[in-house]
Amino acid sequence: MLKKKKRRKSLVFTSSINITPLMDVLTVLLFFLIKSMSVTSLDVKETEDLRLPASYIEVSAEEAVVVALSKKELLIGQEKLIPLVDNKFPKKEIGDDLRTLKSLNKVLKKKYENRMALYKDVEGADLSKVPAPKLLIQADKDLPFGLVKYVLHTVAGAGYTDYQFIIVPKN
Amino acid sequence: MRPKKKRNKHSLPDEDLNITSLMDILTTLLFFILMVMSMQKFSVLESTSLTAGEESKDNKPTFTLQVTVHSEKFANIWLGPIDKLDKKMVDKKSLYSFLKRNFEGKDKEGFSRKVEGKDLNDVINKVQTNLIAIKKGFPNEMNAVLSFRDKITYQQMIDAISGIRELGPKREGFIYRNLANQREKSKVLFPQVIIAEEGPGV
Repeated sequence: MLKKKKRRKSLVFTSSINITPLMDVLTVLLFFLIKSMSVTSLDVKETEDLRLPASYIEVSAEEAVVVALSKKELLIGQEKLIPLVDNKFPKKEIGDDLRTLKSLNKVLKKKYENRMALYKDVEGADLSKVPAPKLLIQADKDLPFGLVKYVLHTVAGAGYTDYQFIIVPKN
Repeated sequence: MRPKKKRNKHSLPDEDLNITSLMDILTTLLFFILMVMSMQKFSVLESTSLTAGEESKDNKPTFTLQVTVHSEKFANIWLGPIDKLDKKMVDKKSLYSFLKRNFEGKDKEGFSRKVEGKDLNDVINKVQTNLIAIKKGFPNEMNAVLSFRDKITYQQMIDAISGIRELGPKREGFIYRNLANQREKSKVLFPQVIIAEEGPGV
């Protein structure tokens, strides 16, 4: 007679992870982030040389060309354009009218022409009715208006008559 | 003997809710949002260049308001001729009374006023008080020209633009009558600010 094999009662612990609180936290965090997020490809950075001014006005920024003037240089997008010398623009950069920045004017005019080229191909398009392109200006809050006005004058001369100053909320 | 309970052969089997896929989606979405989001909020202050407009071909009288910030303690307000702007004006008597008391000039030539203060905030507050009276007289006008001396800083420029556009959070809105003679309360002054240069100054 065959001996019956003793089957050991193996102790198998089965436990299930309770992920309900994890789900709660993730869902709440997700909703909070969706509520407070700002998804924009607009790259606005503050550095030591570029501290934005504050204001209580709250208007969202739209995608546009960004011209940044820090204490050291003038940039368009991420491209460094004109370095400042003794907190002033170099004389060789200033045009004959003593107000226009030559390099900035050249770059902006090219961008403006590229934008208008999209409309020129449209038959019967009235270019005068095309809305003026927008431009974002980022400048350090301590810079004098005497320096900023060169940028404003150049920008307007290149066709960007509607500009927007990037600001941070005033606490 | 108790009759056996009939089990419905077609009842749905008990199943646990499988939330693995939901967790996957939520986690992926969470990481995506964390990667692209920008916590820092930026705003913009819109403005127009003085060179944007074209010279008017007709001789229609236009509302002209200019504020010049000379320094952080001194500004100037100039209101152009208003004698031919009756159709745009509300409560003409109050406006004329205010202008006669606080400004220099005449309705055919324009009005001017110098504003002084201990700092720029004080100057802006005083300018706003005058602009409120002008806005009550011309509720539909939105344009104002703002010019600066070279030594004004960019932050001060932004403060001035903000002050011309609307009243700050610490100030109460003002009540005015619109052209339809209805009472409205608002904090908006002249939101379409046109930037001009005043020159280096003294």
